[in-house]
Amino acid sequence: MSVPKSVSEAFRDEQQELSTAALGMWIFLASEVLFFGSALLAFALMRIYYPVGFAEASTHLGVWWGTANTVILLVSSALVALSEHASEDGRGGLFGRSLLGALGLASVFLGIKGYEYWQKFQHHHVPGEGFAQGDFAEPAAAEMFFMIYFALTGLHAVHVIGGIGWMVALLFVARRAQVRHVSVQTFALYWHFVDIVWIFLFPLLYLIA
Amino acid sequence: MKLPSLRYRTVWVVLVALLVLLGVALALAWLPPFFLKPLVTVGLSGLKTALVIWYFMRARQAEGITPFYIAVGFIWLALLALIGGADYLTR
Repeated sequence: MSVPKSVSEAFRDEQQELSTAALGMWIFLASEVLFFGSALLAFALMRIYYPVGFAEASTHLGVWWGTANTVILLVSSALVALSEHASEDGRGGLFGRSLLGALGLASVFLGIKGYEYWQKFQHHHVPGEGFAQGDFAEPAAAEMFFMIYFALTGLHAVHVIGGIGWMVALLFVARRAQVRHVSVQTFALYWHFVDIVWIFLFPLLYLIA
Repeated sequence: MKLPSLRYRTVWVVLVALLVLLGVALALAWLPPFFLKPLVTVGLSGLKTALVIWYFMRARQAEGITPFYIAVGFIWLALLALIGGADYLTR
């Protein structure tokens, strides 16, 4: 795998191209902050209005699964940071290995999340007609908690799937041709943002009890 | 710009710091409730976020108007919190 330092025609030099791509990604991420921020605000307000019901519902989440997923995403973020440095330095081997590691960890994250969802379906803790109201002292608040839990973690999982697709594309291109550093830098910004979202979701959803 | 080897080492140092902060958040969760506990927990997430943005997302190297757009993300959040908080306090 090799990582060349080439520049698109539209730019004066590589630095200008990198800065422009970074700016575009940061603008996109600012819109993503609004996207997740509004959902997190809804959660925070509901948490204030229904403290007992939310705290009780939170105890039904697997805190160690959530911890494992947090470690997985933090390590994957570090690996993506490594792959970015490697691509900048033209170290194709390290770039490929780091990104492959991050891809593997992202897949494990989704596997654990899928297992957690499966458990919720097994225990009828999915909002709707079959919701196990008898498991909770405040079933309406608990149902609200799980509604927001599925919305937030589901939206986050969609972003993880998008990141996995992006990593596969980068690795695919790297095997056949040459990956440009600007592509790696743009992906890295996206993946670190996905990590940051989880950094907030984990304590809010799993540790509030 | 840092030496290449130092940049790679920084990644691992930041990762260790992130894992330590995660451990602190977990330990805090097992303590009895106290008044500022939720704020401290969210504050720890804020610290982790700052590390990721500063070192992994390389915000410290941002140039031109990019720092402004990085700040915009936080301004959005502040506005959301302000409006949401105003709704809660005046209801």
